[in-house]
Amino acid sequence: MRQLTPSVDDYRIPREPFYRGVADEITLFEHAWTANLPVLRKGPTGCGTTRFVSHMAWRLGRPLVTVACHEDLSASDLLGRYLLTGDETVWVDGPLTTAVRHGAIVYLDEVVEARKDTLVVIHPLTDDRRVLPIDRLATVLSAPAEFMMVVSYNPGYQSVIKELKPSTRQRFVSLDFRYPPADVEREIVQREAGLDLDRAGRLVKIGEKIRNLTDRGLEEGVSTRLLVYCGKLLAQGVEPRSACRAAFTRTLTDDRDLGRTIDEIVADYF
Amino acid sequence: MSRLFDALRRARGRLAEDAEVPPWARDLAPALHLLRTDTAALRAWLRYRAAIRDGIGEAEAEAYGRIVAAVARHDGELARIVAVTIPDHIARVPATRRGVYFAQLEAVAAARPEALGVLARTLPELVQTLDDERLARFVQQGVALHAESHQKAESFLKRESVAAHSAESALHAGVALADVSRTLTLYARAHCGEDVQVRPGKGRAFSDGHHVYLPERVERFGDDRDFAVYRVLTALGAGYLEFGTFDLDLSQLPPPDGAWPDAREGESELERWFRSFANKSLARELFQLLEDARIEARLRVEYPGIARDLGVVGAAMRGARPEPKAAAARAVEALAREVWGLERLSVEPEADAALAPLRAVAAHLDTLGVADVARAVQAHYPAIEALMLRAKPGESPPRSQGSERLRGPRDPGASPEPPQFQPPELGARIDPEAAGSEERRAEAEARRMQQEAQARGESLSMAEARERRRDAERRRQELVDATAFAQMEAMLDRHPPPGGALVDAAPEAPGSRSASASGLPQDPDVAATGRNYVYREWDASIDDYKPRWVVVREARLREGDRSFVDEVMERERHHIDRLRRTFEALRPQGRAVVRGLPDGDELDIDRVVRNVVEGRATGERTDRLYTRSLPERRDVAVAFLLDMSSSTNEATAAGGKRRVIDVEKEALIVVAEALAAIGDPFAIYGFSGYGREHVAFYVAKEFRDGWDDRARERVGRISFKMENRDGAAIRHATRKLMAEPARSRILFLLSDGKPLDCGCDHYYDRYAQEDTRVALREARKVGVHPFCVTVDPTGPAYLKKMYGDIGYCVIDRVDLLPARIVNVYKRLAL
Repeated sequence: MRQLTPSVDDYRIPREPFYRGVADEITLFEHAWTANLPVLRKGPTGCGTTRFVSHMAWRLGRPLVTVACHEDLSASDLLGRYLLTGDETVWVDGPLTTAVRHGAIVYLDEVVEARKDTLVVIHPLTDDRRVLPIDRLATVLSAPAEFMMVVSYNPGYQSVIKELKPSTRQRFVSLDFRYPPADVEREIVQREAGLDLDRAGRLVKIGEKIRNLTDRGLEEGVSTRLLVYCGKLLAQGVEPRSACRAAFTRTLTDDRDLGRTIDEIVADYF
Repeated sequence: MSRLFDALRRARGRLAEDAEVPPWARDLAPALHLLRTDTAALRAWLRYRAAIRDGIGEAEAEAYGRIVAAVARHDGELARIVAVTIPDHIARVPATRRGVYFAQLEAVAAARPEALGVLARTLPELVQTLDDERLARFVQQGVALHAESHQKAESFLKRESVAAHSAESALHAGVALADVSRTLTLYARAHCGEDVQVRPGKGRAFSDGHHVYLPERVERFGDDRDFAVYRVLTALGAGYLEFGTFDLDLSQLPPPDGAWPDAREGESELERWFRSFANKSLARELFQLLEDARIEARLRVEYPGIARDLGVVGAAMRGARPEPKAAAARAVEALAREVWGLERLSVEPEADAALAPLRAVAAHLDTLGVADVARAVQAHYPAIEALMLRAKPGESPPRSQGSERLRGPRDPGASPEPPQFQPPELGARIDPEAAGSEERRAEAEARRMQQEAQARGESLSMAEARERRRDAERRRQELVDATAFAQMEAMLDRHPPPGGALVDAAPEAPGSRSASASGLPQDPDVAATGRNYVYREWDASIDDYKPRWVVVREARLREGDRSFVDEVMERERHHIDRLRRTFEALRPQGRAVVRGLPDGDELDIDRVVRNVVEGRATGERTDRLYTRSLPERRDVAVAFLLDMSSSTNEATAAGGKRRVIDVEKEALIVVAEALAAIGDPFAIYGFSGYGREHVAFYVAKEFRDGWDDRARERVGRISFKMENRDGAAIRHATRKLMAEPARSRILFLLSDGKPLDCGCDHYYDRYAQEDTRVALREARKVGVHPFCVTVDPTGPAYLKKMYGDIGYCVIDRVDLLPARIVNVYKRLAL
């Protein structure tokens, strides 16, 4: 029987991704990697985690395997499965198995979206055993020292079912992410969107005001990513109010009154 | 009677010759006329006209007589009603608008006397909110509707119908607060990051630190600028919070006389500070002026868009300015004009000197905090007060230096008149006095938390302290809910849900009658009447059913009232969120295996083998060889059945002021929001009616309707009607539930627990209770899980007997209802 593992080169990060450190998260991450500790990243959507993880993978020179978790994600989606090609049965490694084989950094994004019974497969990898048992292959893979697991979740949803089980949660060291402080965020928007500092600053202020509505009518505040998107539209010469409407109002809500409020906040600054 | 008639006629004959008609005699004409048409009307008129003349005035009493007489010409009975109605409602009309009230009635009495009964009742509200010209047009439209139907006219004039809303907005040019209040509330929250709420302020704009009150309508310009005025006013109101006006901390100010006045229970720091001045209103005007200017300056720096709006509407918002003569008033006006950048007002040198330091402060307000402004007012208030004292001839000159002067004389007799400062035409006011006791308690608690934190060496802003208090409150509430859950669980354990096979007792076959045969009077809340259904009823006295006894008539509620729902959704927002999360947690965690997929978790060995065999035999292969396990979906349908009888108009025993029907509606909205979030099908029905032929079954939301604004508006339309024949309504709701394809079906009956229908037959007491009980039992037999909720802890003692074997609960607070419903849901739906 053949076994297929995707090539490690597919997961390399060739160029440095821009990341602006906010606090000590870069050093903490490095130490966690050296000490073979898995990392849990908490924080709202779009505040720069994905960028942070790819930056760290580049910095540490490791390939990065990212899995976006969802409700129907099953254990075999992570571990791998048998495929039939012609009359032959072939085993194809799933992303987790691939990462372990290559000593990569595996990043499970929005891990709470995955069902709790699926997440159990990561347990042996996240304690001092650092192994991955694969029943169907009747093998146990040992993770090399370079392997690291990073998971992220967003406590903002506050859903009971979207809580991480304590038995899962306590296997990680936690990095708490927030939206970056205004001046840092302004710099990020300016650089990522290629925008002047003045308009970047206005976008960040709009973001702050919209975030004030989180839990006061809005489920989640506007992400740094959306600010950057809007900045890119502005840099293209799109009229500010329509750029903001496309990037913020329509993205964040279908509620007419709330949409109008966001438009008014935009009008406060443009 | 004929002698009286003759006497009156003779009197009138004499008067015709007399040039000088005494006022009392003018009444004779209507009296004579009434006597001819309807003596009951005459009696009512005789009784009230004197009261109107004495209490209100001669002219009004005469108008009253003319109106009654005019109606009498048309319809004697109606004249009597009008004669009694007007005195009842005139008290609700403010003195200044009474002339208009009578003028309108007279005009209509001449043209359409038949509409006068409705108009006399509805006009008092209208004259207060519409100006003369709009009033006349609005009334004209409403009265014209009377030709079509009495109900249409009434609901128009009460401003309940959609037609009334659109007619009213067509009359106005500007922006109505009702249309933008939610947007503005959210806008205010975005600015200050606190849970403020925009509310109508009876024509004024002010803030108490928890609410931003705004005028009900702005129609200064008749275009987009009217909304800009709202925007600026909201930003100012929220600005008081954003820039800390209400966070004033007296410990940062030098106390007068070494001490501040003692704090009163629930008093805000601002109120206490105002109290420390001899002339409270002068200090307050100065503070208001400078603090507003500070907020405006901060807004201009922070929000370029508002600076732009101020440029457009600012000058108009200030209005025309007066030129006061009195020295102090002139000085304050001069200062106001300077900070607003208007044309300067000259003042005498002494006032100029008094103003100089305040001017200096005003020059760099955008860098200051509330304490700086308060300090400046405190320091320079005496000089302005001196201008005022000096201006009063005979008053002793102002006392010498020192803080003594700040406190000044306490005796109001010795305190001079405050300068009559004219506030801007459209401007915000700081009004801490407007805060309610609940808000004061919350604010005091937040302040206490802040002080405790400071004592621990932790720096905590008032905004953070408020947030912390809110979190604590939320946690406490969750605890209360959890306790309610536990109690409910225990109760349900005593009443296990029904199971077993279906037994007979299928609902009675419907006899369809045409909707036009419906005897229901036309109801302004109803959009369309539907089919009629015939049901049997249980007669406890003969221990048997009466076949084909009750007619249930379906009617769909009309849309067009969002205010109730909006308010509930806004107020109960946290509650709805929490409930939604709880419901989400109820999602089933089971899985079902699906086979024959082109991709999946596992190969299906049976299919693989068959595929290989068939492939070799026929050459045909398939790739559908995988299995995947998918999460199970819940399969439940819920119907809510609301008692809409007139008894639900009574206040609940616990709440004091709140009516049963409002509590029911509120709970319903909260639960519906949560149910909609998890996507379970649900329906909302109400029932009332009169007599066995007319059980009205109101549909607010069918299972197939989405939970959208239209459905919410229909729920807003639910109101109390007539009687309640619970049995028939339960049977009909059961029938509708059975038509839904679902594994579990739940029927929530929300009522006041008093089935009663006295229309021509005897549906009350034991008969009614037994029929209700039997109807619930029938529902259980066909597989519907009924659950009864009674919104009144003083509900009758027979509840247990009536609902006992079904499962019921009695609650007194709306916030407990959703929690209980979740629990029932947990047990029954999964």
